[in-house]
Amino acid sequence: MSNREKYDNAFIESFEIKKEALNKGLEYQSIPQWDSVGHMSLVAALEDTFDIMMEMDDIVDFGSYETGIGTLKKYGVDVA
Amino acid sequence: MIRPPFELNAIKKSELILAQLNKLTCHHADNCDTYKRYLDAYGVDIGGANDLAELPYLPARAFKELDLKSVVDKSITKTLTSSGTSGLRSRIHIDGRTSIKQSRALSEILKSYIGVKKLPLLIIDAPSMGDNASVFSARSAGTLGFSGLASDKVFALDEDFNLNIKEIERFLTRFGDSEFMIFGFTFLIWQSLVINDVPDALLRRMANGRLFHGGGWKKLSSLGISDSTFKNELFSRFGLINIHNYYGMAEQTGSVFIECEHGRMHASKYSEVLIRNLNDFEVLQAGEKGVIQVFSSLPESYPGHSILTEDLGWIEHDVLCQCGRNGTAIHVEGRIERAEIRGCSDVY
Repeated sequence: MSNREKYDNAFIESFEIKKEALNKGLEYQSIPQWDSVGHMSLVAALEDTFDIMMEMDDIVDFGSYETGIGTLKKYGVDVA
Repeated sequence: MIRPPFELNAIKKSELILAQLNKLTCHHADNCDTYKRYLDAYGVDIGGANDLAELPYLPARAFKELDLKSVVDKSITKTLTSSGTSGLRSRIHIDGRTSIKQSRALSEILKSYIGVKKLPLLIIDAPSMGDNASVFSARSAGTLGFSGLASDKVFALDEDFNLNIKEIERFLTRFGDSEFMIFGFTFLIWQSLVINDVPDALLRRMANGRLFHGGGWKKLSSLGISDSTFKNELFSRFGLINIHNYYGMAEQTGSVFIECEHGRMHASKYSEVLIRNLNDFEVLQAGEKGVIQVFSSLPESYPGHSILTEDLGWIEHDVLCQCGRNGTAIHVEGRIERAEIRGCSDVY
């Protein structure tokens, strides 16, 4: 599985959404599932998948499907 | 093995948290007029504290008397209330960012006790405590916080706070043979499990549980029940060995102090603690008993990063604890007596 597929799966499984929902508009609080609780599940899923431990600031600033790709780059994970 | 989030040595830790707290003082002064006026009244050098002792603090009571927030109303997603002895309720306004920080800190701290895998959770409370309302109590906040880290959860009490034996049996049948968590408020655990007439055969099956309990000490100490009595009773009746008392407050949800395997409540990298003299509020040395001041790097939506509590205790610095957690250890010894609280008014 490519990193992109793993990245997408983390969103799909954490929020129980379809692949079609993964787009630029997918942001924190843009769907009911992505609330603070959903956010923690997503972060946990990403950390598990890529075997990383994210810093508090990066977790709080992980604001969207799109910008998250840049955040993961900081941890040596190339999703793009 | 050094365990995160307790991995920082004393020097690194104090540098990191002082910078974060100074930044928070600036943030709150910029975004909360009432807080800014309070700082100005005391001539505080905003953001310029050279050490923790110089950081301005609010008495816990401030959140009862004032509506303090550093975000616009529409960003507030939850309001936490706690009832005080005076009858006044404190109101803590939480936004999405602060909420995420609180969940994360609690999760990291808890994982140092239970490992990375989520565990089933038995909650010694009524199911309504798990309702995710927009206004909720500190007790409910604790329940929700722990629930978020559980693989399964069951409430051990019904809405009248009676034991729900059927539910407990079901939980223990499914999960009782391996490690699980138990969470509840100290007094409620005492009242519902210890002094109730519960069949011991059932409760013996709780021995694999790891109990986290806190809050409500006043009620227990008024009955003359100490921490060790509490522990002994739970051990002799239920075989519970892993019991962790925790110290936390509504104003600093998330950055809790959980008692380690060696009886110390360590400050994680998200919190710190100082002890002040009850009479003149000067900072006391390690080992000396006084009023507890707590710091947390989490609160962004309300100015709660530095709080003078109404609790008494003492601290140990730079402990090389066998549990693998660095950081100041706090020992809580109870509340300030009513007559003494008057002293606190002077700082406010």
